[in-house]
Amino acid sequence: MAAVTVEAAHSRAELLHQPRSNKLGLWIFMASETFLFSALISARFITSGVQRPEELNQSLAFALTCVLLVSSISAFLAEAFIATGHRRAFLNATRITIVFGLVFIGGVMFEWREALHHFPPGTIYGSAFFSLVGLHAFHVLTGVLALAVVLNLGALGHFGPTNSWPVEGAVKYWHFVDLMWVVIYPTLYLF
Amino acid sequence: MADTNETRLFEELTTEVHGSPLRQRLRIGLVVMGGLAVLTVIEYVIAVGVENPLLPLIPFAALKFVLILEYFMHFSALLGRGDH
Repeated sequence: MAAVTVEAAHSRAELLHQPRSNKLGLWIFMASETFLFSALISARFITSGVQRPEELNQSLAFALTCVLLVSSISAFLAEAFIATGHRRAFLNATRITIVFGLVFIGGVMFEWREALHHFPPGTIYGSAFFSLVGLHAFHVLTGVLALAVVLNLGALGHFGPTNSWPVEGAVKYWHFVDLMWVVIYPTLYLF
Repeated sequence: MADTNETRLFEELTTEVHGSPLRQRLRIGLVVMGGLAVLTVIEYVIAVGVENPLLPLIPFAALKFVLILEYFMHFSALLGRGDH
């Protein structure tokens, strides 16, 4: 009886602390990634100053920013839906987020074709541009993969109002990717 | 019995983050989205129209950063100040 009580108490303690540990771990991970992005953003200003090439495709970058912002709201909705038990709506919102993520990656690939012509990676601005956009696009890709895993598990019946941490984690990561773009967009295209 | 307790505990934990009703959360999300869209358009207009846009753009980028961090990523919940 005592053993059962100790086990129950241990299980309760685990339940109490595990989600908070997970959240803290994710935030620490995102903080470390922020340092990585910050280093490249600093390098862009140190090497190129505040000048930007005239050949930059402003309208495409603006469109990509809008795509990422819309994907952020669909990710936000996915999290809200699963937290309130609306599974079908959650699945649809996650699918929309993934599609927008893929559209963003497609847009970046299109943009790279133009950028390679105007400022190749060997040039000073080109190295900053391709490093930053490449690093960010890689994060978008991993975010899409994380959302795809969550979507697959959600379609199999996992997650719900009392167990939505994996969805929350994936969505938080997606918002982090969006957050980094909020800084990268003016850094590369507007300043 | 144990299952019931664990479920209740999970509910307590998730309410910390997901306490707001769905409709309220959707409203907040859409308002923040609208704010981000307006700020992005302003950024674009400034960047295209102003000669040296570095300083004028910083407040708008910072505001977008804070909006996402606070309302989409629930940063203050990490510090134990509740959730949106």
